[in-house]
Parts: sequence; structure tokens; C-alpha cells
Amino acid sequence: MRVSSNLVLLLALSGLTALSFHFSRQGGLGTYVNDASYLNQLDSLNTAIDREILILNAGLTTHFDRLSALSTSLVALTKSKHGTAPLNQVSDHVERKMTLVDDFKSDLAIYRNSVRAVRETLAHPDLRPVSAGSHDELDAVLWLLLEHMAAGEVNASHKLTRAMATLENSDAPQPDAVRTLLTHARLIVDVGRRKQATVRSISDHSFSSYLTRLHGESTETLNRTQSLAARWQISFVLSFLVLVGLTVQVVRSARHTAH
Amino acid sequence: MHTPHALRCATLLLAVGLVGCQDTTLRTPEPLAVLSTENHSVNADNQQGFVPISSVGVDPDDPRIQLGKLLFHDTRLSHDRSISCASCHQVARGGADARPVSIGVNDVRGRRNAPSVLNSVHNFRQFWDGRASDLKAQATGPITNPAEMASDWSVVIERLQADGALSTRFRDAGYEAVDRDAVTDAIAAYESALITPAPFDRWLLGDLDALDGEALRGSQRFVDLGCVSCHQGKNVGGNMFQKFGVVGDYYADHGGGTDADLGRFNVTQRPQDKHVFKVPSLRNVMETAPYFHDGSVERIEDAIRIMARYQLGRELDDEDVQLLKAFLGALSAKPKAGLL
Repeated sequence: MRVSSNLVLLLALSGLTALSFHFSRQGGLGTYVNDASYLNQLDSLNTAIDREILILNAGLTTHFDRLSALSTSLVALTKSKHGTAPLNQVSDHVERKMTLVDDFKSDLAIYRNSVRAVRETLAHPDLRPVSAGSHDELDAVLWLLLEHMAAGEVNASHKLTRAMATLENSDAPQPDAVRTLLTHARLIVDVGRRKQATVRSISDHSFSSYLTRLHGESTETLNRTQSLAARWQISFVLSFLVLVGLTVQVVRSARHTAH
Repeated sequence: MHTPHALRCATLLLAVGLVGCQDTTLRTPEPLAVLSTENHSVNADNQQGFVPISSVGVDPDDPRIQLGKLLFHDTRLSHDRSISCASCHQVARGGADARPVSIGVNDVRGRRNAPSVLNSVHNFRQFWDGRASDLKAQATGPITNPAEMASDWSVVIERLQADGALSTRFRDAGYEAVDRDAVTDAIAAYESALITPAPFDRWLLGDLDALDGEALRGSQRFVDLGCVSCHQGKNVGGNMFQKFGVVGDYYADHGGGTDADLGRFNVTQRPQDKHVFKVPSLRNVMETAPYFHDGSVERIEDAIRIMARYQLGRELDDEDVQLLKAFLGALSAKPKAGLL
């Protein structure tokens, strides 16, 4: 009877030890760690893209290779991961971001080119077109505003728009150079505004905020899982020790009975 | 006597272990270092907007690249075994064909001009409308496109698997099976090796004798006129989308346009993406006539003038056109021997 109860106890302890060992390994822990690491990588790339856009917008670098490479890396990283539902929604955010980045590059190229064209015209007095003598005063205002624009100031763009509209609606014939100049001025105003709106949209941190929230949730889950795993580890060690002790006792007891 | 004592101890210890222990350590993942792109000439970057390319590190004898070369030229990829990738992307002829639009199986005409495969690894997206994110994704398209190879992946794989020698090549290249993934990966590996550093790259890297006077003046005009606003970076293009007709309406002046002319709009359905295309690389452009996405312009001089008029709002004189042409000539080169 006593031997039988000892065996039952041994069996139960063995089961508990095995169970503790299983849960202490925490198969899901790796997933949570990966998720946190993944979100961290996304956040780093996202931050790097935002920084590159600011650098480009400020004219501190001249080509889009670095921005394109970072964007490609972000897209590839998004595609490489098939995580839980919130992680899958990341691709929607990335897709929206990539559209904004593509728009920004296109607009910046046009804006730069038009500013370059206006500056070049202003730098060469002989290239300056005239408004056929009918709008001398307006012409002067236009040039003044263009000079501001060439210097990177677009605050007075509504005045420029009015001046351009007056010139465009004028019956006086316009030389090709005037039409081209007005086109560039319009592009500076329209594309410049659109570009700045895109930069604001890119920098509104909605994607960053989303990543931060996901990161917080992931970290919380990770902590909870780690805590539980630690408890099971201790349970495993203790139950293993008791199991060993009990086994020794049972063996001794069995020998004693045999003698 | 011993057993009940042991059991009490075990129960107590386990209870303590389960309830009392808690790991409160907050583990924050290590931040990822910002990915760095390749190093390049600081002067070229800051002053010109160009970045030199290099084929150092490309090993034409790499089994994967050699397998990709084999597949790239293999007509078994097409439905009637009549054409291969190389039919439209002739590596020795600038990586394109000399037609306005390519001809697929059963003489079906394609919708757009074949872009050069050379240096395409440096493009930020693939296809004129950028619908493929990389070369591997791109390689899957033409095989099943009815206007190109009009084939079926299961048929292609069956044909290739029946070739014992080819299966060995796949194994030698490190692929576990002859399947769609392996085929596109090998083709992409070959295409990635088709890099053509040109005299202009040597000039960017400091070899001042690499360009003659006309090409050098052409490069400066290229920058001054604003061409570099879009044709820039490693591929002198290929890193952004742009509307065809920024300053003027090209399509209104040329009789409307077709669905294929809508470009990126066909991918995104956004109205602002109408007539938007990936800015093509200008590397080897002297060898890839006819020009534009529809192959509608035969001569490079005309292409230069149209670009200046509709993208920059400028009418170029003959001298500027010749200078720009000379510069574009300095962007041509061949891939490494063993890849042709």
C-alpha cells in the first residue's frame, strides 16, 4: 500500500516536473521578442526616412538614392514578416507612407527645377521678358515677387498668383519666355504648396505613433510572458529536486523492506 | 513516515516557487542601427547629384549567376519556345531591343518599349510603371504575360525539371529544387550582375581624363539645364516617378494617348498618377533607341529636345543638344566579360 502510494507520488511529481520544464521553455517567447525587434527595426527605418526627407527638403543633398534605398528596405522588411494582426496592418501604413515619399520626390524635382529656371532668368537681365509695355508696373511687382521666390520665400505667393493672372488675361501678346517663366512661377507656387503639405503629412508621426503603440503592447506582452516563464523555471528546479529526493527515499525504503 | 514529510516539503516549495517569484525586468530591444547605403564620392553627391557605380565584387563565374544567364537565354520559358528574356533584353545591345515595343509569342505586340536590363538592379522599382518592387518580382511577370512569353509556370517548371543537366546546375547553384522561386532568383542574380561602370563613373571617381571636353561640358549643361533634377543618383535616373509633361501637355500635342500611356495610374488608380512613369536610367541610352515608354522617338537628339520642352520648359539650340548627346555617350559601357 505504502509502495503504491509512493509510486503514485513519484508519478505525479514527474508529471509536474515535465510540465514545468515545458512551460519554462516558453515556445512563444521567441515570437514576442521577434515582434519587439521587428517593430524596432521598422521604427528605425521610418525615422531614417523622415530625416532624409528633411535633409532633401532643406537642399542639403541632391539625389534620392538614399531615400529610395531606405524606402526599399522598409517595404522589404514589411513583406518579410507575417506576424499577428496588428503587425499585418503595418503594411497599410507603409504603403501610405511610400505613396507620400514618391509624391515628395516627384514634387521636389519639379520645384527645384522651376526655382532654378526662375533664378537663371533673374540672373541674366537680357533674358528678362517684358509684358509688351502694357503692364510695366505689374511687371515690376512680378519681378520683385519672383526675386523673393528665387530666394526661397513663397509667403507672398497669393500676390504673385494675382499678378500672374492679370498678365495671363492680358490682351497683350506674350513672348514664349514670359509664358515659360509664368509656368515655372505657377509650378513653384502649386508644387511648392503640395510638397510642403506632403512633408507635413509624412512628418505627422501617425506611423511612428502607431509603431510606438504596437511596441508598448508588444513589450507588455513580452514582460508578462517572461514573468510567467520565470515562475515555471523555478517550479521546474524545485520539483526536480523534490523528485530526486523522493526517488532516493523510495529506493531506500524499498531496500529496507527487502532486507 | 518519510514520504508525507517529503510531500509537505514539495508542496510548500512549489507553492513558494509558483507564487512568489516574478521577473520584473523590463527588457527593451536593442535599437537597430540606421541602415547605411553604400559609400560614394562626396564631391559627386554634393555638387552634381550623381553617384558612381562599380562592378567590383561581381563574379561572372558564380554558379547562381551562370545559371541565371542560362535561364535568361532559355526559350523554354515561353509558351511556344520561340523567345527568351534575351529576345527583348539583348545584353550586348544596351540591354533592350531596337523596336518601339517588343514582340511576344505569336507576334503579339507589347504595350511599352522594352527598358534596358543593364544596371536595372539600381532602379528603385521595376517596369515603366514601377509595379514590381525588385528584379525577382519583375522576373515572374513576362513569363505569363500573354503579350510576352504567354506561358504557364507549371509547364515551364515541368520542362526545366525534365532536363537532368539543368537540374544539376540548380543543385550546384545551391537551390534545393527546380521551382518558380529558384528560377526567378537565378534570373534576378544574373540581372543584378549586369552592371556597366562607364567613363563618367571614372570621372566622378577622380579620373579627369576619362571624359573628353565635349562630354565634360555636356555634363555641366545637364546639371545647369535641370535634367539632373530627375535623372540623378547611381543610375542617372531610376530612383523616382515623374509625370511625362510637367511644363507642357505632351499627350495633348501628340494626339491623346492610350491606356498604356497612363503609366503609374494603371497601378494606383490615383488621378494624379496619370502619365506618371518611373524616370528611366540614362545609362547606355545611346544604344537603346527608340526612346520613351512607347518607343515613339527614333533619334536621341529628338528625345533630348522633347524632354527639354515638356519637362523643363526649355527650347534647346543645336550646340546644347550635341553637348548633352556627348555626355550621354559617356554613360555607355558593357558588362563584364562572361556575362554577355
